Amino acid sequence: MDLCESNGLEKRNGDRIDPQLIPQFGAPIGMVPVSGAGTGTASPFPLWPGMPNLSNPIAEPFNPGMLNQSSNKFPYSGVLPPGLPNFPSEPGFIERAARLSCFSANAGFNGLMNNSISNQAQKGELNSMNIGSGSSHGNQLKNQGSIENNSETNEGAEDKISNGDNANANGDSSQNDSGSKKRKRTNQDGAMGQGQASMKSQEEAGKQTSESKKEVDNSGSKNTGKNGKDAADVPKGDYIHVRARRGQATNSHSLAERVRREKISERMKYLQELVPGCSKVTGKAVMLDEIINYVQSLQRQVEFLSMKLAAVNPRLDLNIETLLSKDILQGRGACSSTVGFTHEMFHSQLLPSQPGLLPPGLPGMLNPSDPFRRAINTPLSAMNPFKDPNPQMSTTWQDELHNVMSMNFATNPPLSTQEIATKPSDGFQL
Amino acid sequence: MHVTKEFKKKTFLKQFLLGLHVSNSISNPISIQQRKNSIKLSADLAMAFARGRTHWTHALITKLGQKEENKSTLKGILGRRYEILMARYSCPLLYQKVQRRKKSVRSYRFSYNAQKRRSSALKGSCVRVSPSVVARNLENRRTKVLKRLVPGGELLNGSALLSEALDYVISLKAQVDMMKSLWRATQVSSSSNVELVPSAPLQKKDASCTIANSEE
Repeated sequence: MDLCESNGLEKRNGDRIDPQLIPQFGAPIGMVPVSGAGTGTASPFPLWPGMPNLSNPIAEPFNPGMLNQSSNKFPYSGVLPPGLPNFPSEPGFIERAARLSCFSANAGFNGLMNNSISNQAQKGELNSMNIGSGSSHGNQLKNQGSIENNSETNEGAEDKISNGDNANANGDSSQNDSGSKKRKRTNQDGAMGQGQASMKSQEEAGKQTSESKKEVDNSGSKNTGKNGKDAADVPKGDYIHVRARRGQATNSHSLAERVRREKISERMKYLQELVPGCSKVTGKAVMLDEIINYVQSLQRQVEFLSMKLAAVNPRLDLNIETLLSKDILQGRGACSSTVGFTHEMFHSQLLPSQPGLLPPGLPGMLNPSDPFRRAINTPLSAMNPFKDPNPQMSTTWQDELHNVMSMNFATNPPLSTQEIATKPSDGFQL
Repeated sequence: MHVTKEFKKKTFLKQFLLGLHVSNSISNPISIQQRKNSIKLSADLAMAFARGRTHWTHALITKLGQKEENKSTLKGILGRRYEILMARYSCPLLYQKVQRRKKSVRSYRFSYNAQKRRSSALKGSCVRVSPSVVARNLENRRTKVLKRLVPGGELLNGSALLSEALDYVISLKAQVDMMKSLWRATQVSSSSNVELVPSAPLQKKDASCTIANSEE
């Protein structure tokens, strides 16, 4: 969906499909058709195995075998043009979305075919779509067709595949769907539909029909409510078509939308855990605000720290390299980013102002490391221009610091006292 | 969570030190500003390398590589990889698309505001904007800000943007932690070199205790 959304964003402004961005769609299907994709040239999709030559006005039945691309689903990490995001592959989601969107894709095609063939004649797939889907929907499509040219052209690429078996059911739904998606989400959803529809439409034929039927009522009302377009004109034709179309129209829309929303809320949850002080915040806008503030503060901290390090610089590389490179690079492997129990105990002892994280359990270890820790802690408190939103945050970088300190002292031979000698082992016990 | 940072620290340190070394050897920076910039560059690069291959790391490296003053340092750090990386990850067309999109978005927003003005002129002083619209506007505005903050975020949308932001936040935090530790290390090492006498352990302990006490 993200693929489609980003691509849809491109198209939102009425641009034709950017051939460069086509791979975003094509990629999940294992295609990288940069050149011919979507341009409606004579051979738009030469790369799609099993795809009929779409330039033929006569629709060839879409090869369902084309849909068995699940194996090719996720090579896109290597296939994407540079700079494009490497989306986390969520096969389940993509399957679902494909399921949902293939209807819309098909529907759009049908509409387009009848109404704006001239515009879409460039796209061979449209012609082929025409035959695949019954022309009974032509009437309904007329309302929607013209507006959806942009979106449909995008969908066209993928639609042909899905059209193969699900022509009727898909066609209806997709038509309706495409009709409904006129304004804001048209391109977006169309893009989504394309990207995923082609992949799984074959398999999902039965499911889709049932889903569409189920969702008919909701989708119908939502469709009109949301879009307020002519899409609600219930086409005649057999029951399945009608129902499927209306269901699919909003079905794919609403289901895809729901999936997208779930994804976003999942990310929001992660971010809530990550950004300190956001556990009580609810709502996207406020969370976004918090995230923005946090990112800005972190970036400012980086600037500040680099300034500080620059002030020390003449000695920086010498000291750091000699002291740290040997031991830290060896020791870092042991010291992970996880907060160590021992450190927390130390810190709770030494910083009574902070909430005691753990009961101190190693008094023996504390004494030798006291001076070090105090040395550590005072600069810590001095560093509070970095607003430390959480005491836990400071604890974690106290851990870091402690690691560095222990290693540092370990390397300095003059400082290798008996206590210090034990410290590195202690420090590494995370 | 999809991000594991266990190996980041080693890599970060190595890269950071390497970057510092290279930047110091290439150009002898005179002012603190220059030094700060080179340190920041090294730190960002180190963070990007430590994280691995994600969208934002590519975007960050590309952005850093496109600035003229960084090129020599980058070349020194990356060596042969520089050419490959720059060729692979700088896609000017995409960014042109972003620019074009921004313009059309601006024009759209202008027309939208014009509509609002017109409606307000008709209705009087108050424009009736539903709360959902307000929320959506807020969210859109903040999403745009986030897009600007996260490297490479302008090309992303929705949950992809959020996941990249998540990853970026984690890396940033780790970077900040590492730099703080480094700074502490320099502080302590410098103070220890100055104040602690490298002799008997007891003396050292006393010395360190005195230092600590005095600091407190």
